[in-house]
Formats: sequence, C-alpha cells, structure tokens
Amino acid sequence: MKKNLIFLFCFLPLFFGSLTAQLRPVEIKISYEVDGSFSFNSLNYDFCEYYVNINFPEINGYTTRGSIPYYGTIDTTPRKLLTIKRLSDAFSYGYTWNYSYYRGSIYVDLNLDYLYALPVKSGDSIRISRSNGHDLELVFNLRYAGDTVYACRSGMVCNNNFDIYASRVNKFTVYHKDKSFSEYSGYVSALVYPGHFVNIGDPILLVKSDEKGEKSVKFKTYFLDKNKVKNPDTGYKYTPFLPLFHTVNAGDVKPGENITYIAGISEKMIMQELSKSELKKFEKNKK
Amino acid sequence: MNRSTLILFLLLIFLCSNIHAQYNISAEDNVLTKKERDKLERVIDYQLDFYRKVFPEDSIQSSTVKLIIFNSYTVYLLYQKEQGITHRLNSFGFYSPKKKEAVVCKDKNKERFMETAYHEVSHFFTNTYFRNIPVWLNEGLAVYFAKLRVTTKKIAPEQYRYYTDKVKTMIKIRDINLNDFFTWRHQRFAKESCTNDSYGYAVAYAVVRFMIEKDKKLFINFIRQIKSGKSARESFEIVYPKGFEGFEKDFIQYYSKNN
Repeated sequence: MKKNLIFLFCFLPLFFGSLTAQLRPVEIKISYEVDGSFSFNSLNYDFCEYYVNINFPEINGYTTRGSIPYYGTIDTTPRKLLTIKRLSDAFSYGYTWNYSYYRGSIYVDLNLDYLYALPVKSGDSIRISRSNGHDLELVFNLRYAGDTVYACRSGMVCNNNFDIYASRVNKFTVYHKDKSFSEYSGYVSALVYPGHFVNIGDPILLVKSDEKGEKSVKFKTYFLDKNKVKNPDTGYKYTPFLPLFHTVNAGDVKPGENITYIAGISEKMIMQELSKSELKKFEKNKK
Repeated sequence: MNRSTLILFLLLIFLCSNIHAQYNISAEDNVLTKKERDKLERVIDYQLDFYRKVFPEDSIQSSTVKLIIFNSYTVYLLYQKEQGITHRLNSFGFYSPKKKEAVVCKDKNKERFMETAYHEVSHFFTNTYFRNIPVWLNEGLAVYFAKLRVTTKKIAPEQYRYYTDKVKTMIKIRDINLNDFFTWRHQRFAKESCTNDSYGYAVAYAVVRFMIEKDKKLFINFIRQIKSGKSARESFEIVYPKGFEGFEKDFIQYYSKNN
C-alpha cells in the first residue's frame, strides 16, 4: 500500500503536467551570456514552424548582434535569435521588448500540383460541399463510406492543445512539406497524436453518424500569407486555397458540389514529396 | 467692405452652401455631423462627376440622388424588411430598387459608416444608370468609391490593400480565372465571396482600380460598352489594346509588380 502511494505521489504531478495545456506554443526567453550580453532564444512547443517578430519599442545604450526588430522563422529546435550587449560607454541604458508570432512560415513554396487523396477508403464514394465558413472549408459527406477518415496529404500533426488556441480545440491540423496546412474538424476522435508524421492515406480520425444517419468531416487548406503578414491593418493572416483531389471517376479535380466522387490512391500519389532515401525504401518494400 | 460687396459675399456663401446641399439626404435624429455631411456631399459630387463623364448624354439631376441614414439599427432593419430586401449579417447599407434610394445605418457601424455610405451611393448611381449591370462591375465600383480619402483640399482614391494583397496572392497561386469571373451572376458572386475570403469583391475591385489607374478614358469607354449590352469579354475586345488577352496579361503583370 505504502509503495503504491509513493508511486502515485511520484507520477501524479507528471500526469497533471501532461493534462495542463501550455499557454502559448512559442516563447522567447532571455539568457544572460558569459560575455555579459543578453540573448533572445526561441522555444517552440508545437510541431511546425512559426514566424516570429521581436520588437524593441525602446532601446538605449545597447549594441545588437542581428538586426532589430527581428523577423524570422523558427522551427522546433531551440535557437538563439538575437543578442544585445550593453555599450561600456553608455550614459543611460535600458530597453523594452515584446514579441508576436504566427503559426507557419511566410516562405511558403506552395506545391499546387500535389494530388490530395479523398479522405475515404479506396473505392468508397463521397460527396463534397462548401461550408458557410469564409475560408473555403469543404464538407466531406461520408454517408456512403466507413467511419474512418484517411489523411488527404502527408505531413506532421500539429499541437492544438494551447490555451491561446481555444478555437482550435477539436481540430486536427497537419503541417505539410510546402509549409501549408490542412485542417480537419467535426470528427469524434483522433487516431494519431501531435508530433506524429502521417502519410497520405493513413487512417487519422473517426467520425460518427448523427440522428439522421449523416456522417461528415470538414476540411480546409491554407497557408500563412506573406502579403497579409506585412500589412499591419489585416487581422487574419492566412489565405485559403482549394487543392486538387484525385478521383477514380472524374480524374484530378478541384471538387465541385453535387457530384459523387470515387476515392483511390495511386502509387504516384504516395511517392509525392518523398525524399530520395524514402523513395528508395518505398521501392525496396514494393519488391 | 461696402454694403453691396457684403451682400454679394453673403450671396456667394449662400449659393456655395446650396450647391452642396442639393442632394436628397435625410438623416434620422440629425445623426449626421456637419463635417460628415460635408464629406458625404463632396463624395457624391465626385461620383456624380465620374458618371457624368461616362454618360454625358444621360446626366441625372443632383436632386434625384437620394440617401437615407438611420440612427437606430432596429429601425433600419424594419425599413429594410419593408423594402423586401433580405438582410445579410454585418451589412449596414443597401440600395432599395423599390424606392430608388441608398440606405445606410450609422448605429453599430460608427467606424465604417462613411465608407458604407460612399459604397451605397455608388450603388445608387449604378442602379440609376444601368438596367442590368454585371455584379462584378457594380461591386467593384462600389468598393473603389468606398475607399475615397477625403481631406479639406482634395478627394483621392485610397488603395484597399487587403483586396489587392489577396489578388496578388491569388495570382501567385494560380487561383484566378478572369474569363470565368466576368460571367458570374449574383448567386455565384455572393457564394464565392462569402466562402472564400471576399474573393469576388477583391477581384472586382482590383479590375476597376487597374482600369482607372491605367487609362480612365478607356475605362469610361468600357463601361459604355457594358451598358450597351455587351459582355465584359466583348467589351475588352473592343476597347482594350490587344483585346481581352491583352487586358488579362496587363492585369496580372500590374498586380505581380507590387502595385
């Protein structure tokens, strides 16, 4: 009994720690360096890149290594972004600072030829409509498909479990190689967790029929838009886009409404965006 | 200053004030400040002047320009319902074809009220001059005129950066098909705008802005072709150097070059 209590006592904090969401996905922390300078270091708790801006509304008596304000993309590895050092001959010195960030990278290289897969099993049929949302959100009607949702595109599953991402709760976000995102919502549970890489066609989510027997999942694709980030008057910094979907019966299409599409994944689709070594492995496994 | 000069001076002031007070603007509860009324009248002058250049043979009288401004959102909604207009969320203005008037609400819309008024005044003009104007041209002109910057010295169009930025991005991601866009009717325009981040409004505005900045006379000629019943494509073929393809190429080049 005593042993059990000790065990519980030791692991309880860990358990609660994992349940408590981190406030922000990105933090900039200041470290005091041995040469007397201050460095500004990034910590990214998510699994995708972020575009970060560090501002210094006031700064006197310091020299900087790196230009200020700082603008740059950070990945998940902690990194020193900027250093400031007090000038020895300065009469007065001091600074104020703040930072902001956006999920994604403005250096998007959108792969518009990427063929997305329909989110159902090969051979199953699906209908697609547009939701009333303002950002090109599609509604996949899964009435004639199973309960599993399959990944439309390969990528890293992002972490939406941050306090400031309250609006992203119950959304499944995937960060792609070309720095765009896809986001699924309206599902009941996820089969894959943040930090995992999903391949096109992998099972990722489960859906459930409603009282009318309707089953659907919402889907959208977007990227951090450089033009919007550079415009201070703009609130929402992302641009939606409609990708090309591969269908068995209608070819590669930007989906239209009131059309039934049949899903299928070709080898060419699986091989999209694979690195040389991954391609080699893929070819080897085929044999 | 002798007496006759003084009378002449006062008469001149009276005439000037009357020139600006010639429009039929009624504001509930005197909701319009003097400064706002002055700005509004100057913008109506500006738009009227534009349309007089487009249709000199068909010039409308200033007194027919009718604008109603509501101070209460509830009263505005009731009035809108009376006119048989379907209310759209976050919409604070409309044109009533029944009463041939522009209607604007200031309540809950204080920050963008003037912009809304300029926008609806544009709809008043387009609906007065055209029997059936293409939706893109109607909205493109309204957004263009809504972004007028009015100072004591002059009135000048201001860039709607959100829309031009959007068009730049759309060009970059090959998400623009002007030939198809010009054929959109109301329903498609509304749907694409609502579900795709103001797509229709952004492209419509970008086309109007490009045409006015490139060559105002050419744009006037283009509008006249549209009024005569020609499609946008046909009108470009007639008025634009190298026709529709020339326009498409220049438009894409213009917005790709950071304009």
